[in-house]
Amino acid sequence: MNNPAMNNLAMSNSQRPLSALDSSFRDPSGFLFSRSGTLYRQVNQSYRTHFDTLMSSGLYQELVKSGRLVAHQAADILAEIPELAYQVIQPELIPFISYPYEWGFSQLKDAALCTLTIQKMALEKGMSLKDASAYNIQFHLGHPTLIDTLSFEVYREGEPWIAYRQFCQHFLAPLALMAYVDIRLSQLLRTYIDGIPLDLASRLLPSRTKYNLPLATHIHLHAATQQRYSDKTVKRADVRRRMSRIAFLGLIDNLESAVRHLSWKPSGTEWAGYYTDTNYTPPALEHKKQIVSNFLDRIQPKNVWDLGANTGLFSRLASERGIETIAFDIDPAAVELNYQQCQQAKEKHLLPLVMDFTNPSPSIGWNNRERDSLMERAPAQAAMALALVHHLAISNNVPLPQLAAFFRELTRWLIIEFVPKTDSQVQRLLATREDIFPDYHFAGFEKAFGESFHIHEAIDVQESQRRMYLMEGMD
Amino acid sequence: MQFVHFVQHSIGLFAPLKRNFAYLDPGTGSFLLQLLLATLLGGLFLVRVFWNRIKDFFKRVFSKNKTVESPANEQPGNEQPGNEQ
Repeated sequence: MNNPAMNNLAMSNSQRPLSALDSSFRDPSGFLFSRSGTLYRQVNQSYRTHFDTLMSSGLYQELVKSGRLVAHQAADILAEIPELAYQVIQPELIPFISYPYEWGFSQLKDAALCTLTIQKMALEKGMSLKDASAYNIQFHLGHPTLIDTLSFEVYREGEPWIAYRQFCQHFLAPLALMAYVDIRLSQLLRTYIDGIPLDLASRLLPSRTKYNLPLATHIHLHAATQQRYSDKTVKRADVRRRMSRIAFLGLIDNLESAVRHLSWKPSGTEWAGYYTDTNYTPPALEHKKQIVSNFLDRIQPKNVWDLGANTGLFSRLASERGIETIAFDIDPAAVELNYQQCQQAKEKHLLPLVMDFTNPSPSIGWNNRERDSLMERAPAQAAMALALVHHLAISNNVPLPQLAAFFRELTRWLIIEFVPKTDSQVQRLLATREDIFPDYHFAGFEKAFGESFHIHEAIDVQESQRRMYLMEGMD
Repeated sequence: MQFVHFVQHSIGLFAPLKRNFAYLDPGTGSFLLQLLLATLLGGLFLVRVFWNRIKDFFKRVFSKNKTVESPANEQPGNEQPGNEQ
């Protein structure tokens, strides 16, 4: 490792080209870059042996076949930094990038189990994951998959798992906090870019988790050990022990068991019972579904964002047409129920995510550029905002013209439902406050949105006070 | 930083294989905790594997009249993604 020739092959960050992705800089094995609108990954010489082992051992084939790793093709183009490069590959694209703080409980749990399964499969072929970041997992075709092809290294028996700390912080700690304390604690992942610090998790978890052996070990004891050695240097000569392969497998097995036993039952949050007590009579609901279906058939969008999707009743009108659909909702319970339904029905085109549109995901990480804000991942071709406007305009005081501008940035086509003051839900929102919304009516709404959109259709929903609109953004 | 050097040095002793400067800081405490638990974890794992084999054996013995599930289906790593629960 003190071989000077090898040092020359290590990429230093000052050599990173400007076209490299802002999130792809920590690993000297290679990096992502885009050229002419296509995404490529440069594989560096320093990673050569590991890459060749990945491809020749059969691990790559097995992982891709089971949907656990994105496939790639060899790319016959000049590398971005040729003097460092071994190969350039073109990975399969994920249609929408989402982040762990946007996932519901079972999504994070499945991403964790996916990581551990990949690790087990890797060990069988003599390889091991050198990181276990939740950001390396994306949801594609309805299930979690690893997107970092260069995450693997040749396994050498004797070494502990280098990614153990990261796994505990990115997966085990947040899942335990969501299960034992509050589902909303996944939002800590937004603040702590490398997972939740174990000492914080240890403090927040109830003391009964100390009687749960895996949590006591991998969180509480782990946190304590980290504290103990935080300012100590350990010399190689002092470390006599090694970690055998069996012990390694035992660690992975124990982590898997810990994750599997964590569960959360969604109930008691205000929206989960939404569709059983809404303002829609059965005919009204049917009519609304019909209107949305017709609008979708008319637009034929490539993708759809359903804002305030609840458990995805209307999202499925899009996803069942084979349209890539994202079902956003502020309520983790609704997202969880939606995802569970996706799993049961093996749906491939629907991705439920947690999102508060009054405070959507910001851009975070190094230079505020590592992880994209929600608006940076926009626009969608079409968006649905059903039974949503009154929550933004009334509950959150967002003026209608600002709402219109927001939607225009978000999407080209808009299927939107206006809920007037005569509707009982709006009356409930206004019951305990002063009505400071003089322009909140059909005419005011159409005027505000007419500035940025062509209103193609306006249809009153039967047996309801509400009106459905089909709008197309103006250029 | 010293810890990463430590890892790199110890790996150098194993084989001339180029180690890809594992860029991730594994954490001194995390590293040592694993070594500390290694024997226990290995033992637990062997017990679990052994116990599963005993269970399979008895399943086969007591269901000779029914079609028997191949033990390969119960190997870890064979689950389809998304069905991890």
